Amino acid sequence: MSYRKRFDPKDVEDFSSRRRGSVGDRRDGLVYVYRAAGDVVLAVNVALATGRPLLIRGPSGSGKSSLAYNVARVLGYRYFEQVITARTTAVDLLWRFDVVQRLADAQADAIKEDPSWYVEPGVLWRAFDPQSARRQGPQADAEPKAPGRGGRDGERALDYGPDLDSTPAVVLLDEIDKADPDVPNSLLVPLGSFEFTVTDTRDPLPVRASRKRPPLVFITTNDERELPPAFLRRCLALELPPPTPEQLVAIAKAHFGVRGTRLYARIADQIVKRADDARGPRRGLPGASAAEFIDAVRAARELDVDPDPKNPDWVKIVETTLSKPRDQVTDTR
Amino acid sequence: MTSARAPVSVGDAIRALGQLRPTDEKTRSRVLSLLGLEPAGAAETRPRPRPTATARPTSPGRERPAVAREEPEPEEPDEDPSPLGDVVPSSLDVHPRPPGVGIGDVQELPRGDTTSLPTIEPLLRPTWIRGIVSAALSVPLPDGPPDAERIVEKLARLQPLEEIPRRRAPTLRLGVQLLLDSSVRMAPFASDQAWLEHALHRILGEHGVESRAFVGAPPPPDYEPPVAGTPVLLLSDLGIGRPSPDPDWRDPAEWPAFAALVRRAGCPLTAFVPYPPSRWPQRLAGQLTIVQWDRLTSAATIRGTLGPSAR
Repeated sequence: MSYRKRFDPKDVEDFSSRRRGSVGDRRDGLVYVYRAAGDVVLAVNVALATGRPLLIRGPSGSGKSSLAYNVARVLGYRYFEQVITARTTAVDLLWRFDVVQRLADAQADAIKEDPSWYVEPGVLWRAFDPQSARRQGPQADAEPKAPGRGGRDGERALDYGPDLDSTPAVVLLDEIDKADPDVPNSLLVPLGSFEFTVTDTRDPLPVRASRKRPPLVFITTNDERELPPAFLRRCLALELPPPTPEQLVAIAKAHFGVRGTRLYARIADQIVKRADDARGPRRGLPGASAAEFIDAVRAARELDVDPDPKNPDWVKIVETTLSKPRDQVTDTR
Repeated sequence: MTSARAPVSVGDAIRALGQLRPTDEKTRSRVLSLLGLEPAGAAETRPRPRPTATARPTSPGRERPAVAREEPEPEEPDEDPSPLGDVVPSSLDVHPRPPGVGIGDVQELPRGDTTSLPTIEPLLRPTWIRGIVSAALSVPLPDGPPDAERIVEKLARLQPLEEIPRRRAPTLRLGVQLLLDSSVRMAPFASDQAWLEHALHRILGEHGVESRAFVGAPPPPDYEPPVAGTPVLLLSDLGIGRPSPDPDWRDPAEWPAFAALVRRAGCPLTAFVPYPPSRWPQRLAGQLTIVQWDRLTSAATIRGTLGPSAR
């Protein structure tokens, strides 16, 4: 593919230092393998060109959530994320009014006259307009958070840079399908025009992203429930397919180092084949995910087990990392 | 990789192609595809998938009794261009006319005219279904902002605040228990039931819908109401469309007892009934919320039925 790229990552973008081999899902996005990742790079470039949110679908462990952070690091953008839950409301992403703090202040005879003091910016406000967000709430004009430090529950922020106010932001709204069905429609204006009005301040406060430096918004979904057509119309849509054996090997190299490439290749081939047989297209279930592959490699390395299909120990490892009962595999909630 | 979305706008395509300046046709085509705009000539004409009784997902362990119905083997799964589908299957689609049957001297009509009737639109308008579901099945839970009035009242009485009272906000996160009447009387509406069940699965998620079937009048012996607060939606004629003789007919007196059972469990009960209010059983007034299930049903009519204080 040939086109003018604003986002042009290396085959593997690795921002990790001491975390190599750490356990658990790597949704931190410190490592991302763009090689053979199909339309991912093109999709990010189209999102940058159009200013539209990028809606990412794909099976669990396919790299949906980790993409946004890695893109932010490659582009040098600020980064904010919010994990959506069934209780998340649209306003939570914009701002939150701390009524409890105000009540406590009132009881302590220390209430602030200006209610704006109790308004705390949400991820979209902080991404759209860092200047006004910094002036807001009890943390007003505090030092920018260090990289990786989080905000409220479910938030994670990378809010720093040489020139905070002129650096655009990447925003990840993770698992939008977990939200109440009305939430996506309530985000149409903020995500469509990058502006909204805060109404809990003394005077209505307009928040607007710079037209020259609009944020890049990533939204992930497991497709557990359908999103409203009006919301879909405002997004680009990208579906991440299950990784190929070659891509899995590249992922393993990025996570565990280049030593052991033959081991990675043997495991990748077996796992992709076994996963396709066990729950492939005929059964209507997704193939192997990168996260499951990493679990299998980690188990083989840590337990020093030869990944030979005739080795009963290895067979057990494969069964526990991949051949899960159907209800566990399909239940991603 | 695929993109399944409605088109954004031509403006976005111009902006993307103008900035990215793709030099090959493949890249240009992928950019348009990401925007939901199929390149000219690339669009395929595909049959629109239709929800059928056999294709309906059911909750694990709550299998619906099999309905004796022969269905053609489902074709390859396909992308649904219309999110919820805007037609329901015609009976002639399911049971096509047998070929080559003529009667004496009567000239057979051209087969194309007799085997394809116009598609049937569902009772509920597809474009309104989200609002309808939200209006009918949202339940108010204390998820909203703190309730200042209740807080002030407590403080004014010098009572301690053991917990922060919150305002109730309507939510669909509890899902729904769907009860489908599969009696003979509801046979004309079987496709609409299937369509609505399919729509609920797509709006509330696979885990948000527990489907159960019954014949005639509920409850079946093993019926258990869902967790307290979960709405129960009944798709039934409540015995109104009774043919003579009706093998599934039960005494309508069973309905108030059922409604009381659901109410005691703390679950709001709503019935979608495909008949006008003039035919609704008088004895059910006040026992459950009845919504007329037809083409004019909207979120506004449902909210009007529920009233300002309800749910």
